[in-house]
Order: sequence, then C-alpha cells, then structure tokens
Amino acid sequence: MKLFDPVKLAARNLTRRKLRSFLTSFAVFIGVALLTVMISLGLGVRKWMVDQITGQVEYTRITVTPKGSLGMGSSLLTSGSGSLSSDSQEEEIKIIDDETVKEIGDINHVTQVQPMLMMVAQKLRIEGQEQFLKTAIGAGFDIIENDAYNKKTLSGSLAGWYEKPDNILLTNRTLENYKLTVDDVIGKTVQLSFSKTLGGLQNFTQTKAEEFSYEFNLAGVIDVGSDQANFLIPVNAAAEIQALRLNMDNTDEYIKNAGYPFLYVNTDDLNNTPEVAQKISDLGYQATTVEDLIGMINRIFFVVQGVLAVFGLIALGIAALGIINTMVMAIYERTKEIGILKAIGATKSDIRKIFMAEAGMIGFFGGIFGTAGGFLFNFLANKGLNVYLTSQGEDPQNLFSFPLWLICGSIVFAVILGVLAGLYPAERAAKLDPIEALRHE
Amino acid sequence: MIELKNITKSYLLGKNKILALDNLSLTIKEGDFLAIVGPSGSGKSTLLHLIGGLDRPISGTVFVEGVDIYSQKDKDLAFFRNQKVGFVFQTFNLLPTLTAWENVALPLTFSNVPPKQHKLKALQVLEKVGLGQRASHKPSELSGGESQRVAIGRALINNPQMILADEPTGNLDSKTGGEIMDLFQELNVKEKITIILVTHNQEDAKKARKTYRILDGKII
Repeated sequence: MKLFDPVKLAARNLTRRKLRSFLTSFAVFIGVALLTVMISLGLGVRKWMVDQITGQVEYTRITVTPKGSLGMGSSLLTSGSGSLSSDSQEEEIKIIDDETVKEIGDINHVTQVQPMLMMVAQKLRIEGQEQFLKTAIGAGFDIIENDAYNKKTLSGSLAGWYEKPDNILLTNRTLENYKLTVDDVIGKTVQLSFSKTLGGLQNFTQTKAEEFSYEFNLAGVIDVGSDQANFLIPVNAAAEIQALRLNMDNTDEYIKNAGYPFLYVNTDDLNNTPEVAQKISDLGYQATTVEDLIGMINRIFFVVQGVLAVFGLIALGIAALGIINTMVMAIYERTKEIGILKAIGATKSDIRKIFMAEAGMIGFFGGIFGTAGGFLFNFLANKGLNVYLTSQGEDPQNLFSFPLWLICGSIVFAVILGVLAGLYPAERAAKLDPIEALRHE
Repeated sequence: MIELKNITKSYLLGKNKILALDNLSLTIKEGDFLAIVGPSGSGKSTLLHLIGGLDRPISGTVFVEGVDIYSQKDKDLAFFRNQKVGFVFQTFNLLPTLTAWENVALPLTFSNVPPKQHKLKALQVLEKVGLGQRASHKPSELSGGESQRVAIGRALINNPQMILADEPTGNLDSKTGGEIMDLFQELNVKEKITIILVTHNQEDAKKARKTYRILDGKII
C-alpha cells in the first residue's frame, strides 16, 4: 500500500464525522497554539534582552565590581550613591582603587580601564533657569566617544571633553525638565550643589547639612535611553567632589577608602576577554563579561521557557488523550469495515497505517491551525503592546519571535503527537479477528 | 485445484466449544461451480472462510494450486486473499464513504497496481457486472441488487481464481437474486472462475453444477 492511500482513506473517514474530527483537532489546536505562543514569547523576550545588552556595550567589555557586590549593569542606579560605603560593608571585600586600575591595566590584552563613580547632586541649576532638579543622579566617567556607555550624542563635540575638569554632559531627559532644546544650551553654565555628609550614610532630608556648589561648562547633550542618569562629569572631578563631601583632604584618600563601584575594562579581542576576566577574578574582584550576562539570561530563560512549555505539553497531553478516545471509538464503529478490508487483502500493517494516518491527520490539522492561531495571537498581542509603548513615548518592540523552525516544528510535532496517540488504537484495529469483525454490526 | 484435507475447526461461543468442521476433506476442481447447503450453524460459512484464507484451521491443510496456504505468514495470506479470492457477502459489505467504482477499486489499493489505473480498471469491471451507469454513486444511492453487483465487481477486480459467496441472495428479492445467480453462472462459464456458493436457497443451489450438503461439520 502506497503512502497516499491510507491518507486518502483517512481524509474520507475524518469527513464522515466532521464535528468529532473538528473537536478532537481543536484540542490539538489549543495545545499547539499555547505551546507556540509560550516558546515564541520566551524567544522574543530573550532576544530583546540580549539585544539590549549587545546594543549598549561593546562585546569585549568586562565589568569589574568588588566581590560579593551586586552592581554589574551599566545603569547608573545599580550601584550606591558613591558615599563612603566601606563602613557598612564587610571587611574582606577588596575595594577598587587606583592601585586596582593600574594592576588591571597591566594585564595583557587590556586596552582600556575606565573607573566610574556614582553620585547624587542636591540641585542642578542651569544658567538663567529658575527651575531646578531637587536631586540629580550622575556619574564621574570619562570615555564617551567610543560608545563605552551607550550614548548617542545629540549636541556638542564630545572628543576629549573629560580633559577639562569643569566640563559636564547632560542627558536630553534632564533638558526636558528645563524646557530647553538641545541646540541652544552648549556653553551654558551648570551649577551642581552637594551637601556634606556627617556620617557614612547620606540623608536627603537633613536640612542642616552644609552645602557647596560647583560650576560646570555644558559641553554636550547625550541620549542615554532608558537610563536614569541626569549628568556626567569627568571621573577626577567626581572624586574631588566626593572627597569634599566627606571632609577628606584629597581625592586619593577618598578613592583609597571608598573605592570605585565599578570599572569598565576593554580588551583587544573578544577571544581574549575570558582570559582577562579570569585574571581579574584571580586578583580578587568580580569580573562579568557580556558573555556572562547573555549566558545568565539564557539560563534564566531556559528555565522560564521550560516551565511555560510544560503548560503547553499538558494541554497537548490532554489533546493526545482526546485523539486516542476518538480513534478507539472510530475503531468500534468501523469494526465491520476493518473485517471487509482484511477480507479483500489488507494486511495488519495496512490497517495500522490507515488508522495512524487518521490520527496523524487530526494532529496535522490541529498543528496547522494551532500554529496559525499562535501566530495571530502573537501578532495582535505585539500590536497591542506597541500601541501602549508608543503612547508612553517608548520605542516599539518586537517581543514575539516566530522563526520558521518554530512554525515547521510545531506542525511536525503535532503530526508526531497524533501518530503516537494513534499507535495503540491502530494496533487494536490491526489485531482484530477478520471473521469476528465481519460479523460485527 | 482446491484441496481440503482433514480440516477440523472449532470456536468458542460464550463458554461452549462449537465444533464447526469435523475432519472434513474436499476437493474442488478449477472452474467448478459448487453450492454448499445446510442448516444454520452447520459450518458452511466456516468452510468458506477456510478456503478463502480468512481463518486458520485447528488441524488439517488447505492446498490451493498445490500451496499449503496456512503454512504462510499472515502477510502472504493477505496477499493470497487479495489476488486469488473474491468474497461476496449477504450484506454486500461496501464502504459507505466510497462511490461504486471506488469500492470496486479498493482491493487494488492492497495490490501492486499503479494508482493511475485504478479507475479505468474499476469502470471496466463495473461494465462487466452491468453497472457502468452507476459508477459514481454512493452505496446509499444503490438498490440491493446494484449493491451486490458492486460487491461482485470488487471481488472480480484482481481477476481471482475463485469467488466465495456467502448467501449472496439472502438480502434480495427472488427476481433480483435470480439475476445475481445468472451473473455468477455467466462468470463461471465465460471467465472460468471457480465459484463456491453457500446458500439456504434451493433455487440458487440448482444453478450450481454440484451441490454438497453439510451437517454438523461434515459433508453428507
């Protein structure tokens, strides 16, 4: 018997009981749709997250943090405010100071070591503007032009901007607060006010704290995307301010005691990055590569997707039971027909093929419509999401990934599920005694 | 030539063991037209099934053209049924989803005939059984006599050596039944097909060349 024959017979038999075939297929449809939506969403969100990371930083970048600390992202908020944090932390944590910067800079293949300081200003005042930010978050950070900090330059020339200690960069979001446009602010004076702290912890509500101000020259406007930062100043200027806030004599003393919350280390080649990261780790610091971050996201999503897929698989398991039930009933109804087929020369294997083709076909239709349904759902859900995102002023995103392998895989999987569910009923049909089957009414 | 040697067959009906055939031996020449008559439960249908390779005897052998058919595997026995035997039943046993010609062509599905030839062959056979006009009708649209002609067409499609008919007129009125019997006669004479007929009907039996009576599993 050729492959086409059982398929043809199966198609006829399925159309004989249209509603039953439809309902059985519908269970497969739900299972497949659920599974494809889950997988597609998992793939899409993971891809989006990985894109966020790879779009922001260079691949060769290693983020160095003190061991045991959590800050390793590029967000300015991920670390503390830059106050003297060693007081509250455990003794064994190795602080990242200028010594460390030199030490890491001496490692083979390291091209650049960029320390970063986080800070909070009490006020941010722009020349001629009465409005001011009560608190402004910022960082001491030098390198901008090689995209070390995911910046889009909107205005001003940023080459070597950090060489002048009184230069400052503002983010476009900050400018919006002052109702200024990017074109007419370059060269204006920006005044940052800081308060001296008495203890190790900064207290924003403290009114008696002594305040001091610094004036900066606005050198450029940058777009930091979703980051919350308001300003960037050269790292040395930041260290000086921090030292002053804590009543320390000089910047060296501050760095020795508080350290940098993190360093960005660039290497000459992606292949050397793991080796460098290992060496930094051997020195007693936490070294996180982009690959580590992506690996971590992948591991998390592997688990999340697994859990989501289990729900789809449960639905498909129920669908498989439905197929088995339908096929067992069909065999009972068509017992006589099986006897006839055997009498005119069908072998056991022919009978098996006919019923497995029928079960496979139920799976196939469920798979086709399930995949289409999943695709449609994803399309509409993403549309809805983007309408929301656009209304919130965000860029539209594609959170559902629907690669070709998922489409083909879902359909093939549904067919295999159907055929597997058909195994037992088909075997039962094949084993029927032809004489008894013919006698069956 | 069909040779049955010392065939014994019993089966269970509920808890009772029924002896259907009791050490039966029989020789049927090629091209013969045989009627087997006997009361219900005498074992005549069982005899037909055993000749046609649809059952297996408890003891004894069935030779068809010198081959011990029950020494073969199930798969080869199925092919024997497909190629050498045509069954005709009292209740026609057509597949309701298939048209007349598709029913006739169905055995070709299990043989080596290329699919492209199925329709043409089936139409030729339908012509032979006098049903050329009704080829595309479903069984539900056919009369009893027409249905039985389709069933005979299905039995003929692979040019079998024998037709085994189990009360083929049992569901037909006497006139139509007579026409079906005439068709069997014609096939026996013109095509030299061996026909073995199991029947209650004395009129039908008269159209055969020979009549065997069977009682309690034995030919008398």
